[in-house]
Amino acid sequence: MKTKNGFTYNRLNKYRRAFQLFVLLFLIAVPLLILLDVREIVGNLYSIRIFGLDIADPAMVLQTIVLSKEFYISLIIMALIPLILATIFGRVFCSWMCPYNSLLEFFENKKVKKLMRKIGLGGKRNLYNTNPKPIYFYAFTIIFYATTLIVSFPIIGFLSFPGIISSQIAAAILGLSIGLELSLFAVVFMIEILTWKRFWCKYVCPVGVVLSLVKNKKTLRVIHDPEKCNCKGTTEPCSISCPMDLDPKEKNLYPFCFNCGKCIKACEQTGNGALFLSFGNKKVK
Amino acid sequence: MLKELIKYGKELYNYNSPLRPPGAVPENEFISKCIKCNKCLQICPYDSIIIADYKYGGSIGTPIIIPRDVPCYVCMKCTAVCPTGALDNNLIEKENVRMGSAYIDEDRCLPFNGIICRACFENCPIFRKAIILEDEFYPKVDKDYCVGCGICERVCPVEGSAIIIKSNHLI
Repeated sequence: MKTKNGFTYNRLNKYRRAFQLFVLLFLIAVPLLILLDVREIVGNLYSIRIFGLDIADPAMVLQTIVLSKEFYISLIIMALIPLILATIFGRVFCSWMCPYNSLLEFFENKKVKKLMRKIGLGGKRNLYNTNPKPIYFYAFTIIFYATTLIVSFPIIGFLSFPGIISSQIAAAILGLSIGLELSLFAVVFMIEILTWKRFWCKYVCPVGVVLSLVKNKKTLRVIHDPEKCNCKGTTEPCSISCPMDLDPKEKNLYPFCFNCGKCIKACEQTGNGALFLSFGNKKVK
Repeated sequence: MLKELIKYGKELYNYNSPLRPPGAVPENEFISKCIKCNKCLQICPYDSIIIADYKYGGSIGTPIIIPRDVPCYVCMKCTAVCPTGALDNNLIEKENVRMGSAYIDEDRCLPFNGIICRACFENCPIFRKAIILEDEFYPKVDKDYCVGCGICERVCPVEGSAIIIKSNHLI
């Protein structure tokens, strides 16, 4: 199904792939440039400075506010760019940038999965996609911030996988100490690729939660047109393709969905084009 | 066994106050403000700042300076890039930095043992103010001027350094 200007969700997904790869290469390039004494881009995904423009992870900014109980204006301004992006496009940080998501998507690839099954790894796929209640999305993060406040010790940084991965890549290249932060990451990663797919992204990760706080009625979202949908009764390609094990046809898709567009691509290729991305809750005719 | 445990405990206690980059706010405030973005250590042209490893307990991932390896040359680039104010962004003059202060071990310091040595005196960035020579011979630290950069600790010819920086941020 092609629109007039040749835009397809398949192509959008290819752009997304390319951008994920670009981000990974970027995270490797930053420390390499520093080794060459080019210090125009410094930082990692906790906070980064690109040619004088500072951007900070809103989850970390919130942690600093909770802990220090003061509003450091310049820090809050640094969180604006991610928050504005999240207001318009939803959690595209997760689907387009997060290195942890890129890594998991690589291991969820059909060919990689086949290879893993050959060597005896990888569990069965959960065929019953469900959209949990939104409270399960927020519960852990609320507990984390409350704990941060009570013990007055920053724990969000240890739970932010994009930050950990990026800082550890940089530390490894710069020859600095790496290790202990990676232990939790390694455990969660093994659990996710072996048994419980995406429990971290779905229920725990505070970065995604803080980014989803700004979503509103006009935010980009996946819309389902029940009249066009004709895969009923069979295993739906949209549900199978969803990396988060969600059902795009049902309610409560948000805040769990991060607008990666894989379900739309599947619907476009094997279905009837009943799914599409739209700003706001457009009524389906 | 018990002795080793006590030693480890003491080490951990001492690690509560590692030497922080210039302009650092008091230690407990620093822990809560630092978001481990590592901008300060990446902007540092001398690679003075390194990441604290697991031995530093809860400070893991935060920036520290080990002056005996690479001291801080107080170029003041790191204070400008800190996003959270864990390093005071308004600190520009290197004379106003108070990372720590130097302590001279007079038992091991060469001039106190009768050997001429002016290494720390001559390399001090706050020249003739932070380290002065008493009777033109014995080095002495003036804590009103010492910024705690650790250059003296680096250049000291005595094994293990006879002049040591202690952080000002003791808990």
